[in-house]
Amino acid sequence: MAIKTYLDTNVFFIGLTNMQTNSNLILENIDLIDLILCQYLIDECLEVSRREKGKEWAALARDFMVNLDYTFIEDEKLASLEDRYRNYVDDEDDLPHICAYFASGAERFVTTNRRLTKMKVKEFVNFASPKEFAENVLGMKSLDTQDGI
Amino acid sequence: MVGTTVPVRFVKKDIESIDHFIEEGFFTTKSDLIRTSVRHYIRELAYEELMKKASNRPLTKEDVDRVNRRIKEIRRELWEKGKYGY
Repeated sequence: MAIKTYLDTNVFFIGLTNMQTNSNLILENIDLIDLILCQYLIDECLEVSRREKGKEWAALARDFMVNLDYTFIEDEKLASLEDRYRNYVDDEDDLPHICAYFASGAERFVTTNRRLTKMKVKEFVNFASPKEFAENVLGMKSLDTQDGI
Repeated sequence: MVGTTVPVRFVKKDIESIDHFIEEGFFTTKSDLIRTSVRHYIRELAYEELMKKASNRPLTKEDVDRVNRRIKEIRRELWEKGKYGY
């Protein structure tokens, strides 16, 4: 059975820009996971794409993302969890992603943001680097990359 | 479902294939099959185009630090602006 997974913005962006990464390996096999998306994540990915790669590239990234099969978490659900988890993250800007993880009942949160994985919230969130996720969840031969990215 | 109706003409053999997959339970209706197929095809095309532009060079520590830092900066900025109404 596919595992419910929240992929952070960095996994989408790095995976779509570099083929020599475990993030790309995950995107290549994205049908194997039960993907969670929320509007906040989509908007953030598109803003990063637009600023770093330009409008045309961002449009392709959008076409890729919104046409995936996914479970969508409404903003209202994120907002309702905000207070509960605010004290467990050092950076408030990470809060919507953490709330989406909990609101969806996800089992893994895949990120290259090492700072986030060291915050107090790690007690409740099953964080994985792209390399750990590719190996341990997808059962694939991972790539040796900087920080498992 | 709210959406735009697009008239599309199919040849008989395509309709037979569509009906076959509905009978087998893969899809509930013709619309369901067609919508899913279009979404998957667009996604594949977009991914192929992105991969044509993607780098094949392993990332260095400096690359990884830079991209993570940049994404974090944008995340912080969007949060502070409250741009998306969350």
